[in-house]
Amino acid sequence: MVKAKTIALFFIFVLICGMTRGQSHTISGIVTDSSSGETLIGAAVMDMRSGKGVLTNAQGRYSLTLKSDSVTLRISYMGYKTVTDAILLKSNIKLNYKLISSIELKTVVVRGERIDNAKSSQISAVQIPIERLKAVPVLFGEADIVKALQLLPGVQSGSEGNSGFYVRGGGPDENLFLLDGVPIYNVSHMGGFFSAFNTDAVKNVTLYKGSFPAHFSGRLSSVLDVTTNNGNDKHLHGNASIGFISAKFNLEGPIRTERTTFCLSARRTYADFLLQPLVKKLADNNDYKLRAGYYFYDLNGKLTHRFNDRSRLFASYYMGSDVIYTRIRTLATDVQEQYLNFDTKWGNIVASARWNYELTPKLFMNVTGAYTRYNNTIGVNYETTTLATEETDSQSSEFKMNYVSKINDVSLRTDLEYTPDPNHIVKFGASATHHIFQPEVADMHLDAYSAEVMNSSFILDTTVNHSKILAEEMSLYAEDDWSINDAVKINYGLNLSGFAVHDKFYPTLQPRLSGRIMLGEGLSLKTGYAYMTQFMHLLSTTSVSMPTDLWVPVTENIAPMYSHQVAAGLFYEMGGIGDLSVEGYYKKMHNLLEYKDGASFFGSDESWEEKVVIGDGWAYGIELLLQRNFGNLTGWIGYTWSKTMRLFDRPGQELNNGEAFPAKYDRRHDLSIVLSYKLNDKIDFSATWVFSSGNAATLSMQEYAQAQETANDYANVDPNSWTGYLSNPGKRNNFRMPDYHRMDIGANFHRSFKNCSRTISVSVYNLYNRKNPYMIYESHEHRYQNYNGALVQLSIFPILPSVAYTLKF
Amino acid sequence: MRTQKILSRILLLSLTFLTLAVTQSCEKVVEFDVEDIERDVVVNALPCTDSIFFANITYSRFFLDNQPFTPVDNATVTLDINGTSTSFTSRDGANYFFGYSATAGDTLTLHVDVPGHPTITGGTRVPALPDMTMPLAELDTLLPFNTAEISFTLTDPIGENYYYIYVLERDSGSRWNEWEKVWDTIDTVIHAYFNCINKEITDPEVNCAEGLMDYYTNLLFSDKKIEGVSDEILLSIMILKDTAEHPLLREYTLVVESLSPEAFRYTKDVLNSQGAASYFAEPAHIYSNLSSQIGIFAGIARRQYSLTFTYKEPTIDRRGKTLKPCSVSMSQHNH
Repeated sequence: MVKAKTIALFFIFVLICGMTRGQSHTISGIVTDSSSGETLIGAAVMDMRSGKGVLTNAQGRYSLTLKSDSVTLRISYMGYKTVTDAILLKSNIKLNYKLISSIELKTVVVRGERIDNAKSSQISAVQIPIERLKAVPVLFGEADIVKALQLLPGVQSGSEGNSGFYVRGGGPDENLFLLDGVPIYNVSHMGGFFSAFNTDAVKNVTLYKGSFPAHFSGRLSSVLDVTTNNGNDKHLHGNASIGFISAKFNLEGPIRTERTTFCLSARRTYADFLLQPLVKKLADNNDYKLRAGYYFYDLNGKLTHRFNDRSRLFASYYMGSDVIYTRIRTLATDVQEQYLNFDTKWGNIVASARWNYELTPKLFMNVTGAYTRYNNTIGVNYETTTLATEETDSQSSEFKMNYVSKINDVSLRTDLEYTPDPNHIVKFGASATHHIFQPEVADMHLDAYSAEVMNSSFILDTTVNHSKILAEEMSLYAEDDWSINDAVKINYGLNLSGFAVHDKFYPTLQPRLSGRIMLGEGLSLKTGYAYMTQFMHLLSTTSVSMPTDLWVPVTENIAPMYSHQVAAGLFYEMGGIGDLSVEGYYKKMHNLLEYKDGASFFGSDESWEEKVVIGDGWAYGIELLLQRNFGNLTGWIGYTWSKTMRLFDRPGQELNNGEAFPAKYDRRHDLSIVLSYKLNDKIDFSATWVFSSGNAATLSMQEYAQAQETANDYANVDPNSWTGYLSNPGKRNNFRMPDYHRMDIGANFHRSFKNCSRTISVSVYNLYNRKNPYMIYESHEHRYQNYNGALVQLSIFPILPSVAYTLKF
Repeated sequence: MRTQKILSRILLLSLTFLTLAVTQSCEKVVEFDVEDIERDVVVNALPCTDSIFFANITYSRFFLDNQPFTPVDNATVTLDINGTSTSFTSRDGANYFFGYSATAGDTLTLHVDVPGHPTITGGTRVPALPDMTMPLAELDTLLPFNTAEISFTLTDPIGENYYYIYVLERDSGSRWNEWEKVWDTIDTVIHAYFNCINKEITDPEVNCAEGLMDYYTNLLFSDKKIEGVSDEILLSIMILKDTAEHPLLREYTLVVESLSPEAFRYTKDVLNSQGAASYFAEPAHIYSNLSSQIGIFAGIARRQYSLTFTYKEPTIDRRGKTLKPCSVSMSQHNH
């Protein structure tokens, strides 16, 4: 405790020192896109004379305090024309800049200078322009941010086509997905084949894999910070597109020019509509009618109002769901009809309001109020109607069963950003979240008449495990991005988080530190350390995102997960070639949860706490990234060598006999090559090739006879004929599936008309039809060598061509 | 309109192609190095109060090898009964028979020596017979799709006890003529399930009952929640088929077992490994009390009761349909 206080006092002292600087003048403002009015995040604003500069923040704001009277500002951003502005600085001034994009300039080679990558103090963070991510050819031609990010080093996908996210040996629940700063729990559609982020609505994506700045907390392995478009403040714009799987549209524009804007995006799959006649034809007959289908949808809406240059209000809304439905109507007898409805629905709602206010030219404030909900429901409704006869009236009965799991969060957050001078950007703030967890709630209702009809000896009207778990999560943080001199820059901070559940309170003090030393022009050495804590877990038994996955909080018995991660790397800006980085990391994780051997979410009266064991894990690896974000040829090559292990050896919590074992997604090699080439204004091409070592799986190599368990009449049974057998599991994850590799290609054909343009996108997934492993199972219908059985690999996605049509106006 | 029609046809065709592509069977046999998988000696022996004791000794097999387990024919097997050692008297394939039938309270130790393998030993104690009241003699008329309840009382003695209760079925007319659990029988004509009056029996920590809402197809539980007291258990029987002929061709047995702690842990693991949850779970090790950590040697004390269905005169229901009722009676097996 004394140690924690000392660390806290040290950081506070350094922060205060950093904030108390000499008098000077401040230039502040917002950098926006000249045509749409969208704020630009991460644009560089630099005084050419002093060499001091800052990046615009998540609201596109900057604040640069300088001592000299005469300054020459250079404002640059990737893909935009650089602006240079000479200013006589006598007092604090406000300057908003509107940058012209390369699209408007009709030029293709625009390389805005940046002071991130080699010069930033941040390590283990990747910011890929959204247009690059959209260009990556993916499954069914449906552009997907998460799947594009899986191609970056240090990030792994779960299984084929899946948007599961495994960062540096962490589990899929260890990623904090932020949509406009608000956590979103389930980012998967269609069992993980698509993510919940509609690319049309997204403006900026930043992925942090380690060395997290102090303002992030709550997850161990990564933060994916997604910012949505504010909406064009000058003209009404939009696009509509239809692809193999879904149709979507995006509409944005001003409600009051340069004051109030809106942005609305929606997406829905439509296979259920098209397949309905087929289902009808195949299933319907006189006694039986079936309606079944699956769809997902999402809706993003955002309203932005600018009161003045100092004050803006943002209201965001996201709603997305997956729905599986089955309706069966049977005519049981001449007088009785039966309806069986089976519905599964899961999804998120995120609503937030954010007020962004410039208190002084050096001090910005963001106040965010948010509501987020994740809900999944599996419902069965069985209804029987006995038709009226001359003697009896019509009667209806109903049996209902709902399995529900949900989380509701209400949160309030205040973030302040103070820029006393160009050498310091100080961020501090606080947040409080009220969680309501309701895992595994089952409602059942069987009325008396139903009981009679269903020949049941009992009636039901009950809710099982309906108790809510209330929890409070709070966080205080402070950090300073400090340029000590031209060569050395550090980002240091502290995050004080706490979680109160039942009668237990878990406080944590999480120090964060990262630093950069410039070794030469465009070459830097970076290092970082982060201590992270996570107060909730996702219990999942499969690699595929399922509605049965349960989000649960820490309890009196299950302590928070925490991790220590160190990373170090070299970053080199190679002039006209691109940026190269080589990074190594080591991460130690504690209090990880796994289901016990033989246990899953299914089929037992035990609560989830009784089905899990607690253990530790560690991961280390080297990541290499060569990326090029300018010119006709863009893309990246990413390679990861890594090792991820788990150890569950605490008394009573053993897995694998208490010995260390490789994690399910421990892969030695991951390589991805992503290239886009712009031939001219009308055609561009893209291609992706990925290779990864096979996933680990547990294979029971040995079988043995099962003891006779029932009281057979031994006089009549030959014990030698017993056929029951049991599997003797070997070591956990003792088997490697075959390696995975695949090539995807795509081409976009653009054509402009007077008031609109259209794009036809053609792509081919798995070009050379590689049969990649999705799952492996034992089969006795196949033979291997001289055995009567074989291990069979199931592949799900062969070569898949797709076409999408997009109209922009 | 025409464009819309063409577009929708293209989409439908594309979707059909896509569906076919996605659902096409892409199976491939996985090549891998078959290392020399060790064949372990597996001993299974359940000394029970109502049968002659034998130990089944086989070799384990490679998981792709679908052949029957190879019997171990050169084992030296001895059984210590309350400190007195005895050897097996005969062998039939993998089964080593002893001239011994377990008695409640016996303390047993088994030694198995197979050349080339370490000696396998394990110990158990045969538990006391379950103390239960003789269930009823005969139930009233039981119509198809109606449920009859048979109540019996289990009295738990002081100490650590474990129980396993289930119903077996055998089709006398079938050439197989084997006993199976009712819920494992594909064409069973009755449903039998249990309801614990004392709901606490179903404490998940100690119970491994399959079923829904306190209605269990079989009961495996410890006495943790009924220590030293009597508890009433209901056996509900529902005739599924609209005829009384099927039950008459079949035999039913209610089995009530006291299990040794070893038998309880083994049975619980086996039932769990066969449950639906196991499809989504990592494979689990099955409990073993043998030094080889594979197989089981565990005492059981068993009572069995015959359930007899008797055909009765047909009745006519309110819709004019003929129903063939029957009655059910119960008697203790003679062993």
